[in-house]
Amino acid sequence: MATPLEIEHFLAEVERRAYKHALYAIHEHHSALDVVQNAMMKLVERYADKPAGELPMLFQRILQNCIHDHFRRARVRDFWVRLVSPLRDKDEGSPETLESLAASAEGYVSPSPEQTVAENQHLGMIEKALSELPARQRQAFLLRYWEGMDVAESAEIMGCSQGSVKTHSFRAVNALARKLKEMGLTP
Amino acid sequence: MNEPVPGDHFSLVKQVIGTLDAGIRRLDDKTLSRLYANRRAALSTLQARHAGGGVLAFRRHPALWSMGLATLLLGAGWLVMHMPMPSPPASPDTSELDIQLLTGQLPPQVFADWSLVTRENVEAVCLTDT
Repeated sequence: MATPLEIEHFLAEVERRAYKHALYAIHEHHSALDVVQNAMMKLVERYADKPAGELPMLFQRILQNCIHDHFRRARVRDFWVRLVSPLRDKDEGSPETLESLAASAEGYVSPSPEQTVAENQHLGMIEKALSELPARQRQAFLLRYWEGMDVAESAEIMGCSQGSVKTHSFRAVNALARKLKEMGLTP
Repeated sequence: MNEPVPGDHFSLVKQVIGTLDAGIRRLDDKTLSRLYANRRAALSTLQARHAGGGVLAFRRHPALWSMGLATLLLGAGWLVMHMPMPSPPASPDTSELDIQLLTGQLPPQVFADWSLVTRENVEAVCLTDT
């Protein structure tokens, strides 16, 4: 059983990468933070009595489920918004919808004044390329190469076969290489 | 990175992961403080669970819970078996009274009022009748 200190160290170590995982998938800062919070709470509430060695895989699985839940809820919300929006448009228009459309058109990478150094430009390009990958490819790439999971663990987290994980990660690497080359970023 | 990557893309993957690692080290303060708050919130749940040991700890261990319950039931059974039972009140000895009634020493009016069936009352009735 993991001690509270081990859990704290684990969460401190994984929280930033978890945030980025969620951000690449969701493309929205606050929602990504909410997803990370949900994942942390679920890990502690349900799996605090598991050995420390099992926490990384459990957390990744919870995180991916939380991301799926986010999209599921968003789909339901969008359905109702679409249903009601014609009425609202007739009445008063919908500035929120216009704002959100503008924001989504911009994409989540909005270079701030500080992001003028070369490193930040590289980071911006790489994150953009990553976020443009299909969800399963991005998931496989991040799990295998960033989180250091093996094929079997990644397959369990993603809920697919090991062969699928290999295919997704292979395609992700090729797609990344192509996109970064187009952006003028070569290793 | 514990998985082989396509040979010609190894340096690319290395660069991407290196850049991502550098990126998470440069997260803005607002995001970091929010992540810290998230972590504290999760850990406070954990601390609350640990603080709620004792009786609450039984809830998480069904074996302990059932053993405790069985011990409690056995103890209650032993107490019931060994507790001194209150004896029923001894019935008054009425043999002398019966003899007096049978031998006619007491008048039949005694049967009219059963509250008289105590030695004191009977004697009082007897005295009145005689």
